Amino acid sequence: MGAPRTLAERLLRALLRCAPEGRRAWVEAMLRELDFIGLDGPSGDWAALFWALGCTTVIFREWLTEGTAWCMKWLASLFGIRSTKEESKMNATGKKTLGVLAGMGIALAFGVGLFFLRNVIADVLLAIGIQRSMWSHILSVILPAEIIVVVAAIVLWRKQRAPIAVGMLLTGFVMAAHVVVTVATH
Amino acid sequence: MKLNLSRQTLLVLEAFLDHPAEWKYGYDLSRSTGLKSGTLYPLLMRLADRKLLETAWETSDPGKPPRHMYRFTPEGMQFAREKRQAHTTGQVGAPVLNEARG
Repeated sequence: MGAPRTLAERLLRALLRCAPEGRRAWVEAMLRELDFIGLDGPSGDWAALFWALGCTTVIFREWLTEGTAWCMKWLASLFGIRSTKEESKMNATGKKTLGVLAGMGIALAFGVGLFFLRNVIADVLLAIGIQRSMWSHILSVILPAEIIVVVAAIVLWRKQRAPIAVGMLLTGFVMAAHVVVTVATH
Repeated sequence: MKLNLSRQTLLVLEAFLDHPAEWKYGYDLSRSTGLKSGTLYPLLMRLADRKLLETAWETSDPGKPPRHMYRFTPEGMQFAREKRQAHTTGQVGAPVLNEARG
């Protein structure tokens, strides 16, 4: 078994542990398919890796969707909003606050998801000959995460979802500040 | 939950309509439709959530890992045939599958 196929299997096994409860059977299904992907040589190993990466995006989207729904429900209950039908009755400040908090929740959920996948990312880098270090971690995990958060915030801002964008940017800023402080003190 | 009847969804429905009684596997569907796993599985999940697709684990030989397989439910088959017909006569717009009850 080549390194890309091993990595694909490890990636899907890691996903199996952190996938939403209702989607675990699907991750198991994706994992089982690996045994049948590209059994015709080294290119098949890469096909298996791309298969696993595609599956990862699926589960991340599911995870984010569920996490966002849970966050919104929790926030709604926190602010005493009983149902989405009553959302239209909320005043503008309440809606904006809810949006900012939802944005913070989304960015945090994304950050936590990446934190759980940091070892898998480190393995990918090791497979292409990059040793694990603080800078490899920053450049492969933290920097892309910050870029994704900023791009998502810009897209949301342009789609008239400014409060969510602000929430995401706030969390992104706090995470970036944490990294800067950590690097400076080391 | 809404599912758009996109080109990719139509490809998946077409793949299932080809020998609809047969169970199909994820990777085989990916190859026959040309869809990547990141596109194929969300469609399969939504179809299964809507009870348009039934799923099962293959009971295989001992020592061989089971494989997940999929095929249309009767409702799914009817739905796919209707949508294929509508598509060929040009009646299908973008979001359609929320008509299906789930």
